[in-house]
Parts: sequence; structure tokens; C-alpha cells
Amino acid sequence: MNESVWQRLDQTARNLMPVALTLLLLVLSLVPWRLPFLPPLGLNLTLISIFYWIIHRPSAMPIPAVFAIGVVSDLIGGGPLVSPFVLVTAAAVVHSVRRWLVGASTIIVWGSFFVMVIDAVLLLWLLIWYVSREMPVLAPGISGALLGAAAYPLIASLLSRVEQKVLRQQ
Amino acid sequence: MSRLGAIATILQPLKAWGDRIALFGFLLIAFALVAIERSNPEFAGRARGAASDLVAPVLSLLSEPSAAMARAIDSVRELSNVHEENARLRDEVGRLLQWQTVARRLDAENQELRALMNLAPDPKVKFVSARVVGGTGGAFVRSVLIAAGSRDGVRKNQPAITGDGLIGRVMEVGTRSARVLLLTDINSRVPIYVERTRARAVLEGDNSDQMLLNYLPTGADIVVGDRIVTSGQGGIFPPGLPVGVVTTSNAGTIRVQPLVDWETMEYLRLVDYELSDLLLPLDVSDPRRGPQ
Repeated sequence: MNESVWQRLDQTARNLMPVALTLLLLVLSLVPWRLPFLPPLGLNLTLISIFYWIIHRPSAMPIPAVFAIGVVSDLIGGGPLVSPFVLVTAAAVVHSVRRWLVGASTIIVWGSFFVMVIDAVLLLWLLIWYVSREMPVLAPGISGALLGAAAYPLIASLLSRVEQKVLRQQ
Repeated sequence: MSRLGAIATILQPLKAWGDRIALFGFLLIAFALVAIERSNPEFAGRARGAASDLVAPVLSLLSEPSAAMARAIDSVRELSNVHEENARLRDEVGRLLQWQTVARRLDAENQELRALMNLAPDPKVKFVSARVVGGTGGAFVRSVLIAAGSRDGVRKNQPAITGDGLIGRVMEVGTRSARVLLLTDINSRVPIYVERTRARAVLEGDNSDQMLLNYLPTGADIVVGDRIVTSGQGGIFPPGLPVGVVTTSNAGTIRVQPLVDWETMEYLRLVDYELSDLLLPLDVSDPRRGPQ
């Protein structure tokens, strides 16, 4: 009986791991790194994680979880509540192209992420413009997106290791 | 087994439809949130305060290594030019001592003249110091999270400063944390004047590293290098706080470089300016759109 409870807890923890890791990346992107010329990371690290898990383990990153991550992102980041729309849209797009990305070469996957992160930043920029009624300068968002795209291989490989060590044991 | 397989085959399209409906529903809710934010930016204010309180201790812990690294880099840089720095500081001390003499004389004269004219005293100014634990909120939001909240005396709209000048103002307050809207944020507005000519204008953020100077009177004299200080209009900011320096002035576009480098900022001070109490109900209904 006891063992089954522990097993269930263990299973739940494993299932929640992708969302927990995404939230961890979200918090890390809010840390003040105090490095000159480092653009704001914004949603980009979060997008890497969402993109990765939807391709490799879609059941671990359901739409309600993506929506919740967006809400948390704006609440702790102090911005207007526009990230849920951006993240859910991005997740929907990744779901729709997932079958072509599963098993595709690293360059294709990386290139697809690059296109997605740039589109996500443009959508975010439009929504901030709509909400604040003022057009923000786009450049910091684009540099953050480029940094996110550059960080993709490193973070995706870390997530892949976690997936192999923790989730494939199920 | 085959019966289960048949059920699964029947349920699969239903599940796919269910997923699509859920996706559409969440997109709809997400867009509703965007629309509500546009019409009422205050509606998630309390939730933001609570979320900041939850995440502030974690960020405080995580920001320690980066702060230590920044301090180490600064120490190495300072050590490499300690002789030049020493000579520069000696010069500065000499110059400041002269200014001190002038300031004391002017202060005494000022007090005498105020007494003669029976002038109302300036509002008292108190300070709350706080550590910066969270960086800018996103690509299009310029704000920082600080580890001080309402229990420490932090209140909405308090101006935030460092030794170099103005940073912004408190946008949201939790119990243990608060968020400071930076001058470069798109929702930031600060009434200012040009120190040299005392021409009044409004400084606006646009999400870039510099701010835009708008509503300057036609024909006002302004040149690159002019210092910009708060005018005190609106009652949110005390007058005379240094804000920035004019870097470009062409074709009606005037850009101002902030005096504070918030990339490396570790601590800031919040100014409790008593005058703001008198004016808050009149002109600050929306902290992200009110005059800043």
C-alpha cells in the first residue's frame, strides 16, 4: 500500500517535471545577471522548454499548463497579461507541425525554433502595443529572441538529458 | 484486447476534437485577458503583488551569485586603475570642499530669506533602501523587483533613486516586495525641466535604452549635454532630482540618456515624498499610465 503511494507520488513528480523545469527557466530569466549588453531574456527560455517538450513529449506540456505558465510569467515579471496568448499560440503552432519535427535533423529543429521565437516576439510586441497604446521599440525584443535562439542547442541538450534520465525510466 | 482497440479507435477522433476545443477555449480566454489589460491595467495588480512576494525570496537567493560576480569584476577593474582613481578622487575632494563652503553659505542665506518671507517649508523627505532581486520583466517591460514591500513602508508611486539620479517609481507593492517601473518603460512619463534654461517638458520611455523628451515649448533652447531634472509637477517626484543628459537633438527628436546604469544596479532608495499624499487621489488613478 505504502509502496504504491510512493510510486504514485514518484510518477506525479516525473509527470510534472517538464512544467517545473519550464517554470525554473522562467525564474532564471528574471534573475538580474548584471552583465552589460545582455538583452532581456523575456519569454525566450520558457519558449525553448515549451517547444522541446511539445515535440518530444506532448502529453507532458498540455495547453492548460502552457496557459498557466504564461499567466505566472506575467504575474512575476510585472508585465501586462499578454504572455498566455503568445505561449498558447506558439504551442498550437508547434503541435500543428510536430509530426514534421519529430525525428528531423538538429538544424531543421533549430531553424524552426528560430522562426517560432521571432514570430512570438513580434506577436508579443503587437500585443504590448495594443495594450499600452504606445509603440514600443522592437530592437531589445529581437536581440533577446536571437539570444534565445542561440541558447536553444545548449538548453535543449540539457532538457534531453533530463528526459533520458528521469522520464524514460517510466 | 480487440474490443479495447476498437474503443480506442472510436475515442481517438473525439479526443482530438476535445483537444482542439480546449485549445480554442484557452486562446479565447488568453485574448480576453489581453482585452481586459487594455481597458483596466489595474485588474491583476493584487495578484502581481502576491506573485512577487512568492518569487522574491527565490530571486533574492539566485541573484546573490550574480551580484558577487559583478562585485568581483568591479574590484578587479578598480584594482587595475587604483592610482588614477586615487588622483581623480583627490581632485574631486578639493573641488567638493569648495562647493561645501558655497553650499553652507547659500543654505544659511536661504534659511534667513525664507524666515524673512515667511515661506512654507518644503515637504519632508524620508527614504527606504532596498535590494534589487529581479531584473527587467521582459523584452517590452522595463521594471525591476525589489526586496522591500508595504511592511517596510513602500507605497505605490514612490520615486526610486540611486546616488546617480532617478530610476523610476513604484508600480506595484506586495507585502515583502515591490516592482519599480523604470524610466525607459513605455508607460513611464516624468515631468521635467532642462536645468540650464528651466524649460519644462515631459520625459517618456519607449523601451529603448534612452528616453524621449516631448512637449518642450516651441523655440526652447536645448543642446547636447544639457542636464535634465524633475520639475516636481504632478506631486509624484520631488523637484530637482537629476534624471539624465541630452544625447541627441535633431529634427524635433530629443533623446536623453539616463544617469543610472540599471544593468549593474544592486541597491536603490525609495523616496517618501509627503506632497504625493496630497495629490494622489487627484491625478493618479492608473499607476502605469499616470504622470510619472
